[in-house]
Amino acid sequence: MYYINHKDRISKLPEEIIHHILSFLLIKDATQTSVLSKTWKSVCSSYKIVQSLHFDETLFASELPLSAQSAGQDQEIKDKFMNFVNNRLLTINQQHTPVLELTSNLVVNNADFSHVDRLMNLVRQTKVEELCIFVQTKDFSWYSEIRENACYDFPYLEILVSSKWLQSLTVRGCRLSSTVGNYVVGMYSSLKQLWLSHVLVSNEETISNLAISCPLIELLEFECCTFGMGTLTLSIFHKLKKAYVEGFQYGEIGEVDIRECVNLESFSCTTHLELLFNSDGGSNIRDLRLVDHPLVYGDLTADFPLLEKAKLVIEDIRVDWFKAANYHLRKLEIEFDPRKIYVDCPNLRYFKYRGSGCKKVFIDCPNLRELLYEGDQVPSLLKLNLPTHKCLVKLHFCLSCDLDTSWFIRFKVFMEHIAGQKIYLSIGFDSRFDPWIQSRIQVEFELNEFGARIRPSQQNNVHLKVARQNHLTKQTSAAFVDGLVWSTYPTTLTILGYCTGIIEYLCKKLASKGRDGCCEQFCNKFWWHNIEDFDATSGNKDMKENLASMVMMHNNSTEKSCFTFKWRFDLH
Amino acid sequence: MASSSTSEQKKKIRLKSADNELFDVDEDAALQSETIKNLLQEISGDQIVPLPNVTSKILAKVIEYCSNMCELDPIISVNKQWESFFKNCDQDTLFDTILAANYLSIKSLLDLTCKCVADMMKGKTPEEIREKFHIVNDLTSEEEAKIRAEISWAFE
Repeated sequence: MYYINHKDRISKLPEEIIHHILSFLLIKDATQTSVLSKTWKSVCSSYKIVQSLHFDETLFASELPLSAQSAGQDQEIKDKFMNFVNNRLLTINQQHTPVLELTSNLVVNNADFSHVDRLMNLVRQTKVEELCIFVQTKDFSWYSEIRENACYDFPYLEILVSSKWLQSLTVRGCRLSSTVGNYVVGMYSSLKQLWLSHVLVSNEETISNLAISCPLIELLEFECCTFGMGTLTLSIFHKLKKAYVEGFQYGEIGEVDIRECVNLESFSCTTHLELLFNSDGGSNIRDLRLVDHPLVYGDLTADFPLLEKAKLVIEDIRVDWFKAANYHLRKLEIEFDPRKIYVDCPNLRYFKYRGSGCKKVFIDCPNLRELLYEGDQVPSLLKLNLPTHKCLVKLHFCLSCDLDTSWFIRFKVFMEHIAGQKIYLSIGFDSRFDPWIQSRIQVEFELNEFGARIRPSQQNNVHLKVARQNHLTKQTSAAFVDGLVWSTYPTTLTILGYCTGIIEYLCKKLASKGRDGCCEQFCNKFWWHNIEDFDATSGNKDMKENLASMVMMHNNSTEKSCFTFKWRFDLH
Repeated sequence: MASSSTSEQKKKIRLKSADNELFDVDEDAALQSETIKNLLQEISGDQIVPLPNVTSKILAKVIEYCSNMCELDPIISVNKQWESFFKNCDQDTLFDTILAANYLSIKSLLDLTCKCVADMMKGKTPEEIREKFHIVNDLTSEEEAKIRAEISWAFE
């Protein structure tokens, strides 16, 4: 064999030399070598690393004995904390022990940043890969803008350039200013991921300083930051693959420019900012998450041809139509209210719609595996091309209108469109209404009206769930059950709390089944005529023979009541 | 080995390899090795320095490296040339040089060669590393699964 001449030289090296080799690798890569062989397992176990260092000033203070916490001893606690940090980091630095993760949470009183500076100096000499710095000033709040005069000037240029090993940096509660620190020409940082949270970004120069000193940055996140400039331009980060602008951003910021970001694959902006992007289809974005950018919502296809995953949310604006005909799209989530939805994506696996409901829906997705629809309207026009028996359909209707026979007929037609799929259907009335309004909701179902004479649809895989319908009167409960069961013919019907009227009516009908004598003759068939067999349980208890007490059980326990039906449709 | 014309004025040190070959080396090049420096203090000036752990083939390379480091060229470009040499040489030469650099205690050469090995491992899966360095996996699949579970954080 060829490899007979190839000897394993590396494993025969003295342990300290292998350790020296490992010291040139990132900690995770070095640690992974322990699965190579028995020798490497033992070599790795003696290779010293620190996986996680956590310096939390508030936690440190709370763990001191109570006597040390009395008033006026703030400075003493701070000194103790700094001594502890100092000793720990000095030992680690002297032994050149690599540190995977260093998190530090510091508290600043009266704008005295001296101890933060001391810690930064120590950190600069530490061989750390993932660094997280949080400097908390007295008036820091997660819910408001960071204040310029009170925050710490994070010496980002020094920190970035002094460590050859830094991969990920998280900064919270600080300011990144363009004037602080000395940028050394020709010195670059190894940084790949930068997470800024509640950080004040002074101006455009700050961003360009970051881009020049960290040419390898692949991920950039701004969470609730404050900006001293109007435009955040991301194309100066040449290797940027992922960019996230999360939560409300403060200050002068008005737009995010992602034009010419050729490597950008994943982009998220969850706040109302103008978005500048290449609209000529030049975008390479595969994963897009946007909130409140009406610009994008017309046609997803042309602007983002390579899209694989998209989530689009827009509030309080009505859009006429939404269209996605993206070949690569696999996951699509939309939360807004277009009147029409066209989704024509041959590779789509998952589609979720959430909104108040749309009138027309066209879905041509032969590979769809899961369809979720949450709305308060049943679409009036529906064209679906789904794979038969392979797609899981979850529908949630949150109704806010009166229901009459024609509504149930429309619902029946809708259900027939998706027949053959496994359908999970949950239905309820909008809980945002107060009980008084809820109790006014009218439900009517007359079998003889309109086309209700038409035969029941032969559904065979519908799982219906109903919850909290206590406000329905006896009469409306009966109409609701009749209409719903007639239009869906569920295999299972699960009823969760507060549905006394519904349970009462169901049990009554099931108990009298076969006794009203019309089942064998031609007549308008109510749903109970088509029951071949059924089961009823309350929690784990079989209630089939004891339907009378099922209402009691339902009212007195939190267990759900379940009915399983076996239908037959061959009557006449 | 390769030495400039001015080298005649410089003091020479005579080194003897494991296979008894003699090398005359400029003193400042030889003194990059802490080990030789220490040996010279022990023996009197004109004696031969025996290096029984280093073959002539490797010693020649090491001397070339040390002489290069003493020359006036910017160290960075010289380093780059050596880096590319060690990246492309056979593994025997690379690991023998590591052992020699370790024995002779030449820190810059040890760093350079170890970094080369690390670069060869970088970004590779354990399977690829085994293949690259001909490491035989003597762990049972249960043992390997157990180690993987213990260090699952490193595979994230």
